Amino acid sequence: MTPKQPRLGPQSFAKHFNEALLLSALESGPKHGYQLALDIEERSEGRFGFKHGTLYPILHKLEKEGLIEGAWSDEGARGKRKRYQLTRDGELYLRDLRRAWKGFMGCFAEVIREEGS
Amino acid sequence: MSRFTQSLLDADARLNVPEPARSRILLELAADMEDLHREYLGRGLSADEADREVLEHFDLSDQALIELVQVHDSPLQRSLENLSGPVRGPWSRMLMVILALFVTVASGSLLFRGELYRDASGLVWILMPILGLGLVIAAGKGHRLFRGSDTWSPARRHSLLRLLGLAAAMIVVAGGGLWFELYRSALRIRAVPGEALIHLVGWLHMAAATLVIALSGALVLGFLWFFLEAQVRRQELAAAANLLEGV
Repeated sequence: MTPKQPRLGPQSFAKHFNEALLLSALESGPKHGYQLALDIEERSEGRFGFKHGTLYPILHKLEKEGLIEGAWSDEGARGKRKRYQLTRDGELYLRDLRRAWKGFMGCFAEVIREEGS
Repeated sequence: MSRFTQSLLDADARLNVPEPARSRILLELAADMEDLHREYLGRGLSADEADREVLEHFDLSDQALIELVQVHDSPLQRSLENLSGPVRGPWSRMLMVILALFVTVASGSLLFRGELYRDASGLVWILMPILGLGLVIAAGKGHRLFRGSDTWSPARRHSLLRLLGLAAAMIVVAGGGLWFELYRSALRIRAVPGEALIHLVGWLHMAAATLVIALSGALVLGFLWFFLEAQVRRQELAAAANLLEGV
């Protein structure tokens, strides 16, 4: 059972936008916080830059909700590092989020469509 | 000493989050800042340029820290921690167990009598499923806490608050329902004023039985919450001590 359902709308736009970026970046495997920001920046060719000040509150919130899991590991000389990975609930939520975004973008494109096109 | 120590100390002074969450946040920030710095050096930036880039990326502004505080320190969570804090010591826990036993022995025999449920209002059909749901949640949570992996996760606290919510729901349902039943009794008394005493005593009887069930259920859920919250806190502190070892 999915723990929560995304309800996409103008008020929750930024929240769901960031969640979708972070969760989909974690789909390819566990990552450190800074790697997530770099990954998103590269995949979007610089369009979606993530300030870490924004990144950590979202990551920690997703972790509290059980959508991602953060695990500390001792990486020898580098010391202790935290990596995040998607949980099963997170995978389900991402699937619903993608569906919600597709519907939202389709609706948006329809609303702003040029007259006569 | 990290090249970002000063920035982290500044952030530490403004990060109003209780321990051990604060140490974990700062440790994560410090580690990621170092790694990002290394990444930029690998991309050919000079050490000074890498420093600047990292500090620009890691926006440790007041607004960013406030957002972190909001995630880790809600007023409700802090109040509940204050509430459960005094029962974390071994003596307080023993006192709680004695109190729980006393309540169980004193009201236990009453609670297992069928007539209590017959005397109670029809609301008992709402109260019992609420209690049942609470017990299922507590059993699942207890199983995960005592038999689950050793890895600490903030999600462990997730759903614990539902126990308190369900306890509150039992009291609210019983309280609200009793006022409704009182209103119905008043209508009956108005229709047949000669039977006022019968209806009033009948209502008192039903109200007492319903309240015994609701309050006992709420108390059971409250005890379970205390017990599980204390276990979560113990695991959290153990994980934090393990993490900060050697830092």
